[in-house]
Amino acid sequence: MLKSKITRREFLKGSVALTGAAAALTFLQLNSKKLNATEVYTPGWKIEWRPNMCAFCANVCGEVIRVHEKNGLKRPLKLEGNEHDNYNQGKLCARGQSGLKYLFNPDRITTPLIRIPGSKRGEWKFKKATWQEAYAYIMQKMQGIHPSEVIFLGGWHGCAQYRPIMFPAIYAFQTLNIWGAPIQNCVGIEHIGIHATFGYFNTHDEMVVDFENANYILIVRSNASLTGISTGRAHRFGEAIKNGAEVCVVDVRRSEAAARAHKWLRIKPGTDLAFALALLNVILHEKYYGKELYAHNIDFLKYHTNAPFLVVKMKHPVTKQETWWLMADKVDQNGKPSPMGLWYKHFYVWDERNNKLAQLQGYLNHNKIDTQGNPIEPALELNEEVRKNLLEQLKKQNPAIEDVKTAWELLKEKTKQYTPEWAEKITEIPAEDIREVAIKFATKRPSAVEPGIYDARYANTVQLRKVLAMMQAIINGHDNIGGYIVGGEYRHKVAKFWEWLNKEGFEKIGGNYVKFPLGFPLENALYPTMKLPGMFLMLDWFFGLIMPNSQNPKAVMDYLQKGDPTLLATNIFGYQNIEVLASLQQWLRFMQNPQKEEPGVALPAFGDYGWDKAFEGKLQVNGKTYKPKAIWGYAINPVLGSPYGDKWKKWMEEAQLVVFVDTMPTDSNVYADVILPDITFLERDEILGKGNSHHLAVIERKPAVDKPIGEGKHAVDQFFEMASGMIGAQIAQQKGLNPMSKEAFMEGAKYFVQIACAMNGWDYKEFSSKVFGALQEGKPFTYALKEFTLEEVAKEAGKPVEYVQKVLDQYGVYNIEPLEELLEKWAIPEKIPTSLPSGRVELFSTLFEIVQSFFGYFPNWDPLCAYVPLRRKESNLEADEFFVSHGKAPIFSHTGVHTLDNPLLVAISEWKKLPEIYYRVWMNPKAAQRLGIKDGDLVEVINTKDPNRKMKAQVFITEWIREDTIFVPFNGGTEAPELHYAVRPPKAARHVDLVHYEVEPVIAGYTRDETTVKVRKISA
Amino acid sequence: MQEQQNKQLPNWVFVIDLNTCVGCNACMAACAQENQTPYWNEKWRTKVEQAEVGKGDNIGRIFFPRLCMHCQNTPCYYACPTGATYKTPEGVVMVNQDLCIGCEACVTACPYDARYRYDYEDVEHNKQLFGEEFSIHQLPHIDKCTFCYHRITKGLEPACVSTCPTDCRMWGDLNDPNDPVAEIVRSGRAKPLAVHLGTDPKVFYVGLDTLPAPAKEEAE
Ligand code: SF4
Ligand code: SF4
Repeated sequence: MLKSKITRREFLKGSVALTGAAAALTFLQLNSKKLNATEVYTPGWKIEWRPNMCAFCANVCGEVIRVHEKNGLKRPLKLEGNEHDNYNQGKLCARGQSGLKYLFNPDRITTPLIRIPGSKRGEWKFKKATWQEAYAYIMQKMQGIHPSEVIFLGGWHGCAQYRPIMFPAIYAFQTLNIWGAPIQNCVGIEHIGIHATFGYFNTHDEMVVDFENANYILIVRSNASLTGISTGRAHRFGEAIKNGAEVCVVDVRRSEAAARAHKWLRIKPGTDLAFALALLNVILHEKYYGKELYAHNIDFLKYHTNAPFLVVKMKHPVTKQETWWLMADKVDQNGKPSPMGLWYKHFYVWDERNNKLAQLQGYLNHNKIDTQGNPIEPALELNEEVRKNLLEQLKKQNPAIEDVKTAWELLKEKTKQYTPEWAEKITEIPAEDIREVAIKFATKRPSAVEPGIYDARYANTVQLRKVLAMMQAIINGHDNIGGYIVGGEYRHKVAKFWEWLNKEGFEKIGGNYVKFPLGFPLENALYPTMKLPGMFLMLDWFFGLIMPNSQNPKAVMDYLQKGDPTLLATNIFGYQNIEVLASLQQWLRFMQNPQKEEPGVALPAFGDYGWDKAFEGKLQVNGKTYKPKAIWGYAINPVLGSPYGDKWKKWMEEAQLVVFVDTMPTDSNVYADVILPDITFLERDEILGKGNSHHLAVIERKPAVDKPIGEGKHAVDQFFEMASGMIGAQIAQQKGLNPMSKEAFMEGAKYFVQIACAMNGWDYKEFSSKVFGALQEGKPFTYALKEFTLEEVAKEAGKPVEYVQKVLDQYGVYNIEPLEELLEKWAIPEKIPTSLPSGRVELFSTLFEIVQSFFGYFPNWDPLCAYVPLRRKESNLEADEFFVSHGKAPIFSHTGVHTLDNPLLVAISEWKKLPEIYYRVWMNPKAAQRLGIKDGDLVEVINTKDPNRKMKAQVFITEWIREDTIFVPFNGGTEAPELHYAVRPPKAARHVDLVHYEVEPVIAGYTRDETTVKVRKISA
Repeated sequence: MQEQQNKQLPNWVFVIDLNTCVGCNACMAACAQENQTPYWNEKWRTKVEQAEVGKGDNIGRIFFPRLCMHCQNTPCYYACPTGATYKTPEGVVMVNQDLCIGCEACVTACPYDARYRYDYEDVEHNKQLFGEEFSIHQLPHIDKCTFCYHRITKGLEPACVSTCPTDCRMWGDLNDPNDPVAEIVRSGRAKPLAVHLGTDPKVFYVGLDTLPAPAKEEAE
């Protein structure tokens, strides 16, 4: 309710009241006040507004730069949120506001740096070099290093902003040993349960909860994704509170979100899964089920989820465990029936309309017709007579079937045991409180539960998020006002894919289901892999590039019978990804000795599982040692971000070549041989998709300064040049050219452009003419990319290029189509399918069932839900022993030194009480008294699971934390030399030093907090 | 005549909803960047206090945004011997940097701790950061919040309001009958701090009444 700001709802109302072209314009022009002021401060200081997009965190908020001009001089003086960006709606957080301090930070790396010969890694002894020298140095060192010996470290920058170029670059380098930091640390483990239910993947941006219109908001941990802070989400949260929404926060501490809660449940750390299961129990079993809840959403459950799908009980073919499976016609890659097949051709429901078994199409967004096209009414529950007859009928076809139910019935059965009284004992939350939350969630609709990123992590996080996602689905809270709403870009991708499937795709694939790979091998790709929506991109990558033999019966048999995972783990380039190989080897050990051995990891791609073995020379393939030789990192800081932090130092010390692309000196790139300077987001000139906008939108970045500071180069240009150079050198060798010649480079560039076009579905003629045209004029690759993107956007929007450019010049964001129009035609799953194998919202996860078919049943990937007990001491803690939890400070970004070393942010962090809150270990006064610890004392904190993992920190004594728990704020304490503002440990706790290395078995997510710690006083 | 003038001149009010602040400090960063204030010396025009209130399971966490109250009954203005502290026609309390002699009478007089010294060292440091040309602090002076007068007179919101992610900080005009922010003040939902001082502030808080007693006292 702001004067100068039309609320989002009005904004939308305004836009749909009009039609056609007029709508698009009005939709854009609302509220463009900021961009109109031409003088601020003193008369005579002209100002110019240039659009940009913040990149301090993956929320990538739209912003505008206010550049002032005076006496012929220009200087950017202020950043403002861009009101046309539907995500952040004109807002920026403290980090965003301090962006210009990053741009002008004297600590930045501004030229290529080469380590001085004879110096040791980690000493920060570099000499300035030209780009030519740096590239030549790298090329020379890379000679004789096979792609399998290269590992690549990347974070969200490459993945969320530059995927269309980064993924082809990875393909061109043929380097598939990738540590995608967010997977293990952050969104991967936290979101796989949500992905498995709704089908997104890159959840930095694919779904933003419509809190503003919610009546009831449940937040389980998740402080960082909301108030810790994700600006656009915090904005909606603030509006929700003003609109009278009720907020319940479940957290061990008074986080920023908990501070705003009407009800704060101070749960025992790591037990949130028990809490969530009990919520589901109440919703499904107490009186609300069958009345309000049921009446509200029965159609949604019946027709758009897989709740009515029949599931059968059968033994697992290898493990012989009793396991529930979807009743489906599964097929292998060739479309042949196969119980171990990965693709679902048909599903089955009991049709109450015709009283018979009905067969449903594999990939579809609804259950309203059978495969013959007859209307049906799927049963959510079977009556006993039907069940008996059905079972008899099924047994005749397959005697192995022991029982049959609907997925919904099985879910009800499974949750029966998880009563609030059961959960009370585990969580220490009174059963009555659990009941109250469940009932409110189910009845005060619209309700929403924040999906969360970046807080404490346990192995059970995967099931926790899955259970909460199912609750969101059960109340029909997807793509619905006040619930989960997907971003326009993702929705558009789903729609285009669905359109293609119906036009020619199903025919090409050979059935009404989706199978992978669609995009590999590149020469005869059926669909451009980068255009695949959500989970489908990941499945394509996995089944196409990383494990193409998972469909090869010989590979599977060799693996199971001979105990040889080599073929199964072989990627498309003919070698084995470290993490896949290590994981399959571990699975074999586990199968032989389940009592003694740990399981492997089901979906280890993008994780660092087994990398310690590889670096230590203990990973073998066919009797040969498999050891990485070169390390490449882009905008990433593993020394401060990974539980292997200390090991990384050693690995880098031993590597033949270490290259980092970054803007600032970090804890990691001090170990590099070569550091290549990236430019900051405030120096870039580009057009990017705006994934977290509910509207379909693109955004423009214009540089704040007329020339980049120093000699930095856009990382995308660097990757283009490196890829072209390296491929060119290979081609040159075959053709007898000079590998360092321009000719060789151009050959490589051509090849790279081909790959980029094939993977993105771009027209080669158009794109290559742009690229080579630009190169000829001495312009960078990113210049061509921008021009090309502009044309693609214009084509998609059906508008002239000039129009798109004009809109971007004026508003920074081009909102191509508003949410309400998108929802009208493309609501998921009402109008178009999810990006999951069944196309429905999945309560019974096909993804987890596939994992189960490979590795047997584990509660971690129960396709419905299961309790996963914690692997840590639960009671009788010693006097100095604590549970542990961690989280973020809203003014910093994870491990990013660009915020940790930002003078303005550091100044805020040092103001009054803030250093205690942001840098110190929180301890309850009762515990402190017991241990004789006073506020500000220096202590040592030791991990009981691995006593080598320990850190020194100061103590903040506060009742904001439970007595049995300490809270560690995340990684303030960078040790990177050459940073002149950052606060150092132990003044700022360095959380990474405390974390033991342990991963959970679904995606190798770090279970950072699944331990206890001991606290010892060092000094006052 | 009087009426006409009222129509022309806005009667600005600043409203803070204590129920939505999440202590993100975006406001502090925005203000420091916009107004080039000496954050390097721990000096801020606006700040957000954090406090623990209550006990045990009821322990609360409070975020309390503060800034100059732009009192209409103006202690600092009365205290200033040189006329450096003045009020704009709309009632915004400002300091004329050229006239300020740094005697600190206003600093002492202000009951809200809203003023600080922008001293020589700060001026020099600021010039280094923003460049001689673009530094808006050319001389040492007493500094304080201006409601971003340079912005509000050009139709922009104050920097902190404009960026506040939760819209805890709001900007309104009491002379606009349709202004929802002004309505919060008119309805009595928002109240000024320390009414007993009679300062008649232009800054109003929503949620003061629901603050736990000790925090309320502290705020007063
Ligand atoms: S750092 Fe803040 S302003 Fe920047 S993208 Fe993230 S949430 Fe948005
Ligand atoms: S920007 Fe708003 S929400 Fe953030 S601390 Fe300031 S007043 Fe509070």
